[in-house]
Amino acid sequence: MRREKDTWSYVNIWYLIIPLAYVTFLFLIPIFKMIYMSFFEFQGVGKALGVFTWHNYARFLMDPYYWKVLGLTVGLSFLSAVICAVMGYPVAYHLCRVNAKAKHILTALSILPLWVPITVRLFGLMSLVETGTLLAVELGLVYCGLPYMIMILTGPIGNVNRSVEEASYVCGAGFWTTFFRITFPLTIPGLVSGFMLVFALNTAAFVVPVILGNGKIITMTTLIQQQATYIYDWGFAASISVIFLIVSMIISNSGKLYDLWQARKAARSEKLLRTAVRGEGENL
Amino acid sequence: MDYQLELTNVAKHYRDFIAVDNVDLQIKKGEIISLLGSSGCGKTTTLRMIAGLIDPTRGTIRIQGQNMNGVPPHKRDISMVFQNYALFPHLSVYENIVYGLKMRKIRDKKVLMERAREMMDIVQLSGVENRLPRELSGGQQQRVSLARAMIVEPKVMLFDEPLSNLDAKLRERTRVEIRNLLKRMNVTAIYVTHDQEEALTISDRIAVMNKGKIEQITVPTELYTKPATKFIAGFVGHANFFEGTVQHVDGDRILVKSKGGHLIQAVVPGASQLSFGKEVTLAIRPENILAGGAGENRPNLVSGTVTARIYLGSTVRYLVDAGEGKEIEIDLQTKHLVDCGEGDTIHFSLDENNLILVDR
Ligand SMILES: Nc1ncnc2c1ncn2[C@@H]1O[C@H](COP(=O)(O)OP(=O)(O)OP(=O)(O)O)[C@@H](O)[C@H]1O
Ligand SMILES: [Mg+2]
Repeated sequence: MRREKDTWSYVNIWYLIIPLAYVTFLFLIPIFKMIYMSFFEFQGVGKALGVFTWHNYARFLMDPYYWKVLGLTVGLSFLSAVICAVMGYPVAYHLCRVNAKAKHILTALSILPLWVPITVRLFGLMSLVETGTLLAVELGLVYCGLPYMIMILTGPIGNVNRSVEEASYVCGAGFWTTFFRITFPLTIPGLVSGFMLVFALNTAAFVVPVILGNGKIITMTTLIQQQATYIYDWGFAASISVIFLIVSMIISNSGKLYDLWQARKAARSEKLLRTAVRGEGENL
Repeated sequence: MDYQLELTNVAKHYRDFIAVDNVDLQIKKGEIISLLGSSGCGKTTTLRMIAGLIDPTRGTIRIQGQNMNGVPPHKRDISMVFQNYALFPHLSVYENIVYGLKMRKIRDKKVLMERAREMMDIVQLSGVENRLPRELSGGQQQRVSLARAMIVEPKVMLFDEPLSNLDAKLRERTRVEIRNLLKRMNVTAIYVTHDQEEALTISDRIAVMNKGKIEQITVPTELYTKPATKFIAGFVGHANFFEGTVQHVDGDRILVKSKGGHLIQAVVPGASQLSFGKEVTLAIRPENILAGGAGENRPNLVSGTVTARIYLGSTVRYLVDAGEGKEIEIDLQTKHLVDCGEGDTIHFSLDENNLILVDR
């Protein structure tokens, strides 16, 4: 997949100063401060930092318990993203296939949960499932991720030209063949970005594990909160945050792996075909 | 008689808008029919109903005698070239072309490639088989969609303006290739086009559509010489019209008094059924108007003022104001030019044997 670079832009470069300053003060400075802090012994709030140490990291990496928390967080989020994709795709598909008026109404309905504050929604959910269980947390994650998944998927699915599907029917393909050979492949990039978004949202979810985990299910976010606000070990909390940050970055960029894989596959099949169609070689 | 494709009373309504109105069409196996008509007259809608992409509001469509109502497109064994190409954007040219064959359960790679190569030669696409559709020019994309439709040998092939994006030379070549291929495969085809010349050269019969109705179905040679309606006479080629009332009928010969006050004699087959006082419209092609003849005793002699002189290469077209706001077009061979410029008076006569009775 090659992308041409834009050589010019409407936006005056100096306007970028404003968001840049915003990001610097509110994001970069705190994050560097946090990374810095993660390498020192924490002496207490308001006190000077102690000596340089790797201990905060070692403590996390050596203890299987913390690995389990990380694994649980990633696992729950991954599963929830998969469930959201599986449940959201048909909804998004139908949203794109009904007439314009119905589409407005159904879209509004599917994002309706987002209008209600998350705590209110989750308290509603608490009355249905037993809190403190994996099931409860997973349900909560899916519940929060689904509207985003649906909204993201309506884009690429809506962009699939209907006449391309019609062409497939006319070529002799039935509904499912058309779906799996034409519609679905065309929406995979959208599916990947929807998946990534829900996955990232889920790993960063805080209210869900707090309310539905009820102190029994500990994820990375609640672990950090525990360390920072109950145990008052900001150094350890900072090192957990850094580890979490790195893991999230790796995961959310793994979507690029898909692009890479596609490009490689395309290159390979092209080579095969070139030799074959031109009749230069018959060994396919 | 068994028809390959038969449309009976087919209509399509969009709310209260009638896109296709009571179309009847019978097509024999191996026959190529052109659907000719102006933009928005319902050509694409008709094709889409035959393909099964939309349901007719009323009427039946039969393929090889089988009622197709309710049969989904992929079970009809048809293929179609879409007006907007509708190529599969994520598949290479080669994959696009063999898609229909794969759907027909042909899995042998050798066969697929053989057929694809043959098809690509016909539409002159060799060398781009690995590109994606978006890496092709408009005309190349159109040829891919043509190849994709023609590679399967279906019961009925539908073409929706398949050559609209090619340059004149390539279009002429390709339409000959299409016709040869269709004849060789003995495939029934409906070919939609705006281009009269294309319709005349490619098809066995031409159906002219107007406002959702088929106004006439006939062989190419008759369409120009014997248009059934005023619309067709004006749509296929140019025509001058004279509306008037019948004054006298004698066998095939009639005398019509036009609204402009001219008395026009015409020899038209079937004229004997007309009666005195009937309102008729006569049409004549610009090239059947003969210039000159002032003072001679020719029938249908008219005169007017030249308002424009348009050079068309082999002919020159004169626009003549014949009084009463009537504008008449006259075509003259360039080598027989009369010495007439704008503002001059020109005399001409209407060839009585080439007057056509339209809109009876
Ligand atoms: N879904 C629809 N809803 C309402 N009207 C429609 C719809 N589809 C087509 N029409 C109308 O039906 C008429 C016929 O359309 P159609 O596409 O068959 O025209 P066409 O003869 O193919 O024209 P062109 O030569 O421009 O392609 C048009 O007036 C169009 O506006
Ligand atoms: Mg059309």
